[in-house]
Parts: sequence; structure tokens; C-alpha cells
Amino acid sequence: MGTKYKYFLVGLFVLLLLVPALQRRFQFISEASFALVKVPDASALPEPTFKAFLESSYQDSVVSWFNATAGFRPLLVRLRNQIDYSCFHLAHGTTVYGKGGYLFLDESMKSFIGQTFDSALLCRRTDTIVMLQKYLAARNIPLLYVMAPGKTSFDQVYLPYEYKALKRSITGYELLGNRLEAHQVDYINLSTYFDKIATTSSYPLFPKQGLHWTTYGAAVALDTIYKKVASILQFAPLKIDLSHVTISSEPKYPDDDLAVAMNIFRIRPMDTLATPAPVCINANSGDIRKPKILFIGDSYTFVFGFTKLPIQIFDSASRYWFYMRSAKDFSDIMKEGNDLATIDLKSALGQFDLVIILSTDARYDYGDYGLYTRLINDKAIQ
Amino acid sequence: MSFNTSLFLLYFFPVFLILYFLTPPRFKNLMAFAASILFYAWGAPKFVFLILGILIIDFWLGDKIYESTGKKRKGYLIASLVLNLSFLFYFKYFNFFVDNVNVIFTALGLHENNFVRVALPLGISFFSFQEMSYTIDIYRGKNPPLKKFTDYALFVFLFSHITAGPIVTYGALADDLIDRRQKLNNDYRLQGFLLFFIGLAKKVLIADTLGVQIDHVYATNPDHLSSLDCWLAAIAANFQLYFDFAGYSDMAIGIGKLLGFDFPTNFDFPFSAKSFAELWRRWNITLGHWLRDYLYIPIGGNRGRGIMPYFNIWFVFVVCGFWHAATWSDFCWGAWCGFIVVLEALFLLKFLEKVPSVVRIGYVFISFMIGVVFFKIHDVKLAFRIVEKIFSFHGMALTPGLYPTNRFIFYIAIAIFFSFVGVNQSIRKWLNQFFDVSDSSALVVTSKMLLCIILFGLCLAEIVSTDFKPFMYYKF
Repeated sequence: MGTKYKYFLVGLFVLLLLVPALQRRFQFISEASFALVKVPDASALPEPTFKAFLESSYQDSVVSWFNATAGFRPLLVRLRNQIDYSCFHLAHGTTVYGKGGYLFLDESMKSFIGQTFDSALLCRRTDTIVMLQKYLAARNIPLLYVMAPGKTSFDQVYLPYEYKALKRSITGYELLGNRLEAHQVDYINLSTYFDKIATTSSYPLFPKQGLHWTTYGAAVALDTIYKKVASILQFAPLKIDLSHVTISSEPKYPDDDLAVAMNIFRIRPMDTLATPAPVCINANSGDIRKPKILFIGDSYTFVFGFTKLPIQIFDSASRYWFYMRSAKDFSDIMKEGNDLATIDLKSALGQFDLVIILSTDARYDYGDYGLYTRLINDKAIQ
Repeated sequence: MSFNTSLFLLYFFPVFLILYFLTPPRFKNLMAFAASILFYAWGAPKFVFLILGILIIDFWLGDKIYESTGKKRKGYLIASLVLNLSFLFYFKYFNFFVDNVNVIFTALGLHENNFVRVALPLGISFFSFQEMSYTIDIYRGKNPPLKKFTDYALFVFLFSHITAGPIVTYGALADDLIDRRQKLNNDYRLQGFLLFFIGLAKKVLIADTLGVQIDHVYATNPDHLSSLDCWLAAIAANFQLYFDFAGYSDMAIGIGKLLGFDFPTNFDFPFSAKSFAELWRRWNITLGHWLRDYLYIPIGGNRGRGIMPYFNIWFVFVVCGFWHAATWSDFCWGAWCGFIVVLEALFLLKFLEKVPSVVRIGYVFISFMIGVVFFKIHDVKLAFRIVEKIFSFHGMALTPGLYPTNRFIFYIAIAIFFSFVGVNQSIRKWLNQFFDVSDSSALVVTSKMLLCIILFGLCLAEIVSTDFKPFMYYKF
């Protein structure tokens, strides 16, 4: 082997070690940022102090900072995640790899198997739903509670074996159902309904690689909720036709949200999913009532926006209070909503014909998402 | 600063190498010493001046030992040993001593001593031994002292081995410290890179992957563990310890090669050994040699009558255990290893010669595994509980929540292969020569370098994706 070639190889190795640092400094290759992961600001190197240096806390923070801002980090992290996903069927972060490539959210699984279950908390939170119902009833606004199916409970046959083997205590699902029943809170159990139609549904109700129900599943759920709303408010509902769908196996947000959160290069081909284009029959007849609905709920309600159904069946003043943090409009669900801290909740509530609280099993202990407490304490800024 | 951080790999290391390669040979030691001070000050800024002070005194004592004769000569040696041992004892064993005195006080109903805990200087166990080897070797007339302080300081303080070895005796490095121009060539550098990256892969890909599962098991309440959980964790811990420390050693030896030094080999397929004593001749070889040359032989070695030779063996292992960490679990580890070696010396070896190699290798592995439980778990009661669980054979199914991942299974398979492949002499020889690139063709060298690039990419991907996982020997 020639001397020059050896020099070349030694130089190559030194350069190899230096390249990530050069990339970090000059960004000569543009890198895709991480999805759903916060990355520290590259310019925010920890402030050095002599005390922190002596205690080595400064060094620890610098090492972490260099790690978090290393050149090619997004590429390297994706490489590692991709190898683990493709070769070892392993997902990182909050995603768990189940049987047959089904992905789950770790937090939801823990909730499902009862690991994070706190019965006292759930009872307290259920009580706030009861109180909210009374509060709203005094103002002639009915309340409907929707127990939505979570991905974990719906696809539990695909859970990794070790999770299935974990002992399961009484779940929030059972406890909440009993309490709502006892306190005569109007509710729909969509979990049971989805389980019933799981095998007969024309299209998947939950995606393999997503946390939330599919757009089709959301449309089915909303159709059911709508019929219940019509019965509570006593009007003749529109007939919703969900047979017009676009079939695709291309990953499409939010059907692949868990896969996106994994930060990998390429996901295995998805199952074939249907995106509905719902049609409301008799929509143009004059006596159709479109109620003003307020949804308060977790991210599952978010998917309703993608179905384009709410804008057809509900009044345009209907809103979605996302985790009681922001007020979203179904006509543009991706748009940042108004901050609920700046809204007078009492008068805002008065505009709606009906309030719906929608929670999946992992969020049952959120109760009414704190609405009743806020109404009573009147913390809203106005 | 640890070798497995992006700060070291992507900044310190390449910048140092460029500067070192460009520095004229006569200033290379000075340059490497300056980098080592920076390296050490980054990890343990409180102690850097203290250690430099001890280095200066030891350097002076080395000269004095060389110049003196008779009792004076011995006096200077004793001064050096007292200095280094008191330094080691104070920083490493003071907390342990007071903690145990307090336990006795509490048992007797007396008040505990309140004291400020002493922080442990990084790498104290390693550089204390190296410093002692310097003055002892001069005293024994093996080598003359070094003329330049920077040469001496580099011998002890070189960043490649100051934190976790390998323990390089003065005699092994003396000539290279003075003049190593013959070794400042690209064959050495390529060999150095190869060793460095393969060592990094051993640590980051194998040891750290196994460590996740082991930590998971040992963090679980032992009442909830099955025997199989404990077996799996204990077996994995053997491999984790081996690949962690052998990986570090390879990286240190690789850095040494890049700088033109020949550090001695520290591991030679220890799990392929057919006796426990043989395992210890292949495990942490430099520590074994140090203990043999500077402790075992001076206290009598295999000379003496009755139980003394056996006691000497056992005593050296107990010291070895305590040298690792000042805990009772490390004492148990050392005592256990010494006990097995003594049993072999007494009768076990003769019996083992009659059984098949597979059984012998299995016995060595399991014996070592029991010791590693104490090495890993610094709570003696818990360690005994785990050992009890292992041999209870109660619950031979894995506990839900502790199932190994496919990644774990893959890397433990790799670990098993590369641990036991050394049984075959020709493969062992081939693997030991793998790093030598001097007579290889361009294609072979390029293939090896390509392997290094892939491994580096995989390791870097792992490092930037996960939390920092220190080398197990950094705490010593």
C-alpha cells in the first residue's frame, strides 16, 4: 500500500471526525428538522461561571448542548431510529411498536393497562362533570359526554405481548361509565360502538401508524354524535352519506402521526385508508337546523376538522376548545385558536346550544378539562 | 470529558490530532501534556492542581531515588509510596471508613460523626498506580528516571489512559516517552483509528445496549423478579462489563497508537478461558501485571509454607476488589474471585482438566458472573438477593415489562460470538492481528477503514440520540 494512500486515509479519518462540527457551524447541507421534538437553540450555549465550572455542572450542560446541536444530528437520529424500527421493530420516544407494525403511544398504553390509573382523581374529576352539567342545565344548555375509543383499547389485540401480560386493574373506562350512569349524565359510549362495528366497517377506523382515529373513523363517530345531538335538541338531523371516499395507502397526517413522531426516514407502507368526502342529504332544504355546538376535548376532536363534516352539520359559530387552552374553528382546524385565557367563558358559553365533552380513555381523568372550576372562580380575563 | 461524547469525538479529538500531527516531534510530549491538562481540568477542575503538585513531587523523588544509595534510596521510595498511597487512601477510602465507623457507633448507641464527604478525583486509582510504578521501577534499577518533567507528566497524565487505564508501567513506556519518532507513522495512525472506532463500537453499540436491559432489571423490586430475569441480567452484565471496559481500553490503546505509543493489550478473550485463573490473566491484563509485580510478589507470592501462598492470592484479589471501589460489595467481588482462584490452586484445576472445554468455559463464565453481580450492585444485601434469585430457579419465565428487545437479543448474540470465538486459536490469532495494517493490501486496509466509518456513523447516531452513558470504569 502506497505512502500517499495511507496519508489519504489518515486525513480522511481526521476529516470524518471534523465534518459534523463543520456542518454545525456552516450548515452546508440543509437538514430536515425533527417532528414533534424540541431542539435547543443552537446559539444558546450555557453561560459559563467559575462556580458552575468547578462543580462540573457547566461541563455537563455543555456536553448536553453539544450533543443536542451536533451537526447532522437530525440525520443521525433518524438513521438510528430507522435501523431500530426496520431491523429490531423498536420505536423510540413515546411510541411503542406493537404486533404487525401497529404503533401505540406509551402513555395511552399505560393508561389502558391501568398503570397510571388513579380512581380517587377520576372520581373527583367526574364530579366536576356532574357539577358542570347542573351549571349548564340552569342556563338551558345540555351537556353530552362522549367516551371515545382510544387507539390502545380499540387495537388491543396488537399490543406488544409484554403489555398484554401486565396485570390490569379496574380501568377508568369502567369507573367513569358507572359514575356517569349513576349521576344521569347524558353520554355516548363510542368505545363499545366502535368495537361493534370494527369488523363490519367498510374502512379502517384506526390507522396502524397513527394515534387517533382515521378520518373515516372520525366521520363515523361524528355522525353518531350528531344523531345524539339531534335527539337531545329535538330536531330532524341531516342524513350523512359516508360512501364517497378516496382510498390511499400513502401516509397522510394525522393518520400517520405516531410514525411522524418517530423521526425516521421511511415507514413501512400503511394499510389502505379511506378519506371520506361526506355528503349531507337534504342539506339544502329550508327547515334544517344547524346547532351551535361547543366541543371540549382532547386531540381526537381535532380529527373532526379533517372530515369537513362539522362545517356542514353545525353552525359556523361552533367551536372546539382544545384542552381548554385555545378556541379553534372547525373551518380551519390547523389554525392556531384564540387563547381561552383571554375569553369570558360565561358569556361565550351562553352562545352555544349544546356542550360536548369528548375524551379518550387516556384522558378520562381530565374530567371537564377544568371548565367548571374556571367558571366558578371566574378567572377569565375580560 | 468522556471518549463517548460528541464534545470529545467531534471537537477535542480531531483538533488535538491535527495539532499533534503538525507539532514537531520534540514538542509533541509538551503538546500532548497540555491537551491532557485541558482534558482532565474539564472533568475534574478541582483536582488538577493537586495532581500536578503530586506529579512534581514524584518526579523529584524519582530523581532522588536514582541518585541516592542505601537507606536514603529506600527512604525516598517509601516517601513516594506514602505520598501516593495516602493520597489514594484519603480520597478513595475516607468516606468508606467514616461510614463504617458510623455504622458501629450507631450500633453501640453513640452519636454519628458528621463529616463533609470527600469527592473522588477522576482516575485516582489509575494514576496512583502509574506513579508508584515509576518510582518503584527506578528503585529496582529497571529504568533511569526521565529527564524532562513533561515526559514524566505525560506518562502519568496522558488523557488516553488517565481516567480508566490501561495501567501502563513505567518500564513499558520509558523508551517511547524519550524518542518515538520511528512510531510516528501512518501505519500506527491507521491502526490507532481502527482500534479507537472498534473500541467505541464495543462500548456504544454493545455494552450500552445491554446496559439498558440490565438497569431495567436491577431497578425492579427483586421480589417481582423471576429467576430467569436475574439470569438474563447477570449474563448480560458479564458482557456489558467486558465490552465496556475492553472498548475503553481499545480506544485508549488506539489513541496511544495515534500518538506513537505502544500501550499493552488489556484484554485477550477472557471468556474463552478454561479456568478462572486464566480468565484473570486475560482480563484487565495491565492491572493484573501491576498487582503481580508490585503487590503479589513483594508480599511473598507463591513462596512460603502452609496456607500463605493461598492467602497471598486471596489477599491480592481482595485488594483488587477494594481498588475498584471502596464498598463492601466490591470487597465481596474481590473475595469471591480470590476464593475461586484459591480453590483452583488447591484442587479444582485438576478436576477441571478432566471435563470437556465447554463445561470449563461455562464454569468460568458463571463464576465470573456471580462476582459481577456484586460489582454491578453496590448494595450487598441486594446483590446476595439477586444471587439467591439466580440459583433459586424459581420462575423460569420473564416478567412482563422486562422482556428484552430485539435489539438487545441481537447485540447479546454479537457479544456472545466475539467473547467465545477466542476459544479457536486460529480465529483468536486472526482477530488479534486484525488491527495490524502495516503489511496489508490497500483493499484490505480500505475495507477495514470502511468498517470503521460505518461503526463511527452508527455510534455517533447512538450518542447524539441518547443520554450520556459513562464508562463503567470512570468511577474508579
